[in-house]
Amino acid sequence: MSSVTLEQTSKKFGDFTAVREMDLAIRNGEFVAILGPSGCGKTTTMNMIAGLEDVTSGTIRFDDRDVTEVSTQKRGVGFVFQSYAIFTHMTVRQNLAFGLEVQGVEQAEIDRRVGDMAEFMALGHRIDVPSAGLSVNEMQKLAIGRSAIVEPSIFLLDEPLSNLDAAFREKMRAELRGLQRALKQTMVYVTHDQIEAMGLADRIAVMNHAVLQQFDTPVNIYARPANVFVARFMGAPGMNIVNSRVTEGGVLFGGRDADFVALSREDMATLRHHGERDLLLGFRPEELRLGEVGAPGSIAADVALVETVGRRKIVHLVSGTTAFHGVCDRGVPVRAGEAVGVTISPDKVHLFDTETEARLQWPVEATHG
Amino acid sequence: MSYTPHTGTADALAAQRRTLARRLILPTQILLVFIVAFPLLMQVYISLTWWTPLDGTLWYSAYESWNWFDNFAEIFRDPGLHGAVWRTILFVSIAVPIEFGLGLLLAALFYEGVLARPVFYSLILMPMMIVPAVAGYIFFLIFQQTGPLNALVGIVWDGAYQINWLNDVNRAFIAVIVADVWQWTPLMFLILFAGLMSVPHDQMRAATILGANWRQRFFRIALPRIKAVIFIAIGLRVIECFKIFDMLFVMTSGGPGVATESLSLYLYKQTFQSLEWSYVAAIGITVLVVLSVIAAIILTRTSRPSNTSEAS
Amino acid sequence: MAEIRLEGVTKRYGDLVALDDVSLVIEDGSFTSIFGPPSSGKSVLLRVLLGLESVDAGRVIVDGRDVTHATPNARNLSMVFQNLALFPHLDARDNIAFPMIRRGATQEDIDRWLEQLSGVLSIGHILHKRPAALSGGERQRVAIGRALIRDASAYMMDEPIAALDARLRDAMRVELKRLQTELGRTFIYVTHDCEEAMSVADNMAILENGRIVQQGRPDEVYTRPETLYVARLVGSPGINVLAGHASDNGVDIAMGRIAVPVDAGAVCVALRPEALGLARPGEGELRGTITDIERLGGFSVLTVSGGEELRAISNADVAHRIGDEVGLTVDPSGMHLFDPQAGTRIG
Repeated sequence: MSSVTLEQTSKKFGDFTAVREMDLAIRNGEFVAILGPSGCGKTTTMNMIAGLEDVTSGTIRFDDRDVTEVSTQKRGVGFVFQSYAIFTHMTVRQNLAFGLEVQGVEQAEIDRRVGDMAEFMALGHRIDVPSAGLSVNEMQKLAIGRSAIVEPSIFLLDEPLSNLDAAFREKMRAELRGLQRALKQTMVYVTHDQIEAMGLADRIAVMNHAVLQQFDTPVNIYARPANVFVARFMGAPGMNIVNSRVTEGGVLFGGRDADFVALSREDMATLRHHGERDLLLGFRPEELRLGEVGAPGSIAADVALVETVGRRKIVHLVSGTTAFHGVCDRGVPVRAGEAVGVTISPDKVHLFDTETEARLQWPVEATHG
Repeated sequence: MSYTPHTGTADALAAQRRTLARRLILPTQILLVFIVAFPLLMQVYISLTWWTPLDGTLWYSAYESWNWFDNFAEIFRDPGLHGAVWRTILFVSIAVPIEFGLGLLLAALFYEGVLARPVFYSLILMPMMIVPAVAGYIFFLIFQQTGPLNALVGIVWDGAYQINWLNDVNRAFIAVIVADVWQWTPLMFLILFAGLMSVPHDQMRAATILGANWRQRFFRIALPRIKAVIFIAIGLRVIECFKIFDMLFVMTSGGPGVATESLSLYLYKQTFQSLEWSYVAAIGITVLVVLSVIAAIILTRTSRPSNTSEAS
Repeated sequence: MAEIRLEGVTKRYGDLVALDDVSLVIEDGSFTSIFGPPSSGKSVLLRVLLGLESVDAGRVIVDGRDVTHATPNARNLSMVFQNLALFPHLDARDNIAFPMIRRGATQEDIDRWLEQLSGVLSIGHILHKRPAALSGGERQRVAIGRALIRDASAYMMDEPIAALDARLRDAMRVELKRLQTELGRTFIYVTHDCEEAMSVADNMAILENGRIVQQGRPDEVYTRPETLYVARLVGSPGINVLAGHASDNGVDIAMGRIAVPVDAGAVCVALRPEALGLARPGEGELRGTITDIERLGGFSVLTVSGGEELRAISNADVAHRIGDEVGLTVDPSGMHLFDPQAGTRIG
């Protein structure tokens, strides 16, 4: 296993830029998720690491080795495709042996390692079964085992769980994390599902429009999103973003004089030298509190719709012309048509610039833990 | 539930649908009977007589010279026919493997992106678009003693302009094989290339990432997956090649002597020179039966590999 | 009255029973979701309703009229297909108006309808565009518009938003709910996504191998699942299922004892992850060791082990670490007991 470093890596397809000047340093043994909506460049990034796509400019390094010009066959990466790409005309054994055979490993050695890997992946009893007849669960294991057997320096996974239904995905997610720990592999995992990324990764690289938006631990990305895109993308539902105006002592919610959101002292200090200005106010749906109308420090809002989804309620709220939503436990008595007072705790407030949509509070680089 | 299902109604509905379906396909069936069954029956009928157009009677009066299976018995005694069949088989078993080999090579080069696709694609397919008779004429010109081929070979070898291609027994045979390979390798290529394109891209990439080189990918992943396509391509060409006529007719007319006389050419001569129509009908039916059996064998072979690849 | 009623409907394909004695009442003006995992018979049920499949037994009744053997166009039901099936050569306006034009409606009628619909669906600004020029969500709305323009007894949707990405899906499902409330028409919504099925519908039917195992308000289904199968299907993260043994008004499981009045014997204990609360070691009904913590943003999922594994939901900033001993409290409203053999609800 090894670390992976991307330096100023770009990929262009004609006029279209798929990945723009990406800097990414993945540590040895780390589980990193590359997360973003479809077309954000995450798959291209991974293909460049695997060598399936040439790099337009920039460098890729495994440990200290520059692999930018090294062919796919020689890079020694493991790759698990979304489709698993099992060789369905072969048996489980032949699939596992393929990588060793093409590298000219001795037959006795192949037999031993194939046997070990089959046992490790709990496929031992299925080893001479034609691989077309495997269940999805077994296919995933076989795909991982087939890559792991050649002892790759890094492991790349392309949305391996996206073809599964919800209940099964949860189980497979746990299994995958267990495997990563057991194999102690550097893994790069591409996904568009933020819950998957949060649940699996040590660190998440969020991408949008070919540009890396933020690279940090799940907790930090959730608690201190670098910009509006990341704020909205993480969480289900994503963060509420409201056009607001900052004044002495706080923020005018929706830019109106009526509703006032207090800010923490640090935030006020950060904003002081900005003076009175427009900004974007962000707050997580699960971090707002619903109370009586007119409660001190609360924003008056009407409940437009309540969705009860399992253990939670998603409350759609309207205040003036501003629509936003909140999340609460299913037990909370709230009905459509009611008027409520919404309070947002000062330390749960996120502030973004209206123009650049970048975070205004505490420089992200300075965070730790 | 107190409710009893009335299955009868469901059955009646289904029956009604079937009747409608039959009525809708009836016109097509009638048309098919006319274009397939009628000529076939006519041929069978004539093959059982001595009838020739020289008799002066019309074909439906052929029963006047009824001979049962004498024509079919003649098939086993006719050295001219045996020679033609033997030559045709030889021709097929040389030309088709060459076409397959070249087609596969081209398909592989294209698939791996070695050749610049847009440029070569139309170029490679061009021979296939040419009418076989015209292709025959082109090669007829190329293989002339004073033709471009001799001129070309003459550049490296002095006495080349004297090579007499089409009038030498062996060289004529080589020449027609060259012509056939030129014309039909593209079809082979097209079918095999389409087959290769259907191999899941992910599997080829997975093999690459596992360290497989070009050859390993091709022989261990791509080829096993297009077994069925290979069978179809070869089967198609064997059957087509067996019937080769127009190109030979233009290039050599079966000559010199009978050196390049294929089965079809032999039949043509029997029909229009000897006017042995009833005998030709008998041969035609025999060939049809033999080719159908071969085709059936190929078809069962092709439907099996796809099953066994899933199940064995 | 546009009530739809299935009575003992059975559909077989050879030996395979796709629908097994299905009886279902869909009330006028209701939003009913039909929910089940893949190949549980949802789509067959829809096709039977539409008249695209004949039934082997039972009756289909629409508006009090037996339509079991009626052709699809005699049933007056409208459908939004999963693949949308928009006509690529027509613009959005003509796509929507198509069913009306075919029925020979006047231009006036068509315009009036279009105006009303485009307001509700907010598609007024894209009516001149062809499907290829529309985004996924817009295409979806056009397809829904085309289904809604017919004055049908009910509107059916087969996974209409499954192809959209997560954000758009959340928005669309709210949109659909609003639309149905405003129009007051009967919607039948087929999906394999539990969240979708629960959030849009006011009535849901859950299918298992062609049989309806529970029907009721989403709320009831969640708080009172009738079978273990239903309990497992609804809710995310999934419900914990443990083997237990009941005696003396309590159930023993590997990690402790929960007091509950129940007859003695083997039981299956299902605990919702949110019904488990973290407590100090020694407190609460259950105890175990934390073996995994998934921090998922707004909440965390903890795996607690002690003979068996339990998943519990906790707030985002959980202070515990892997390896900590903890106690767990159990909220009785999130606990369900099932018969271990039959999987049916006890109590």
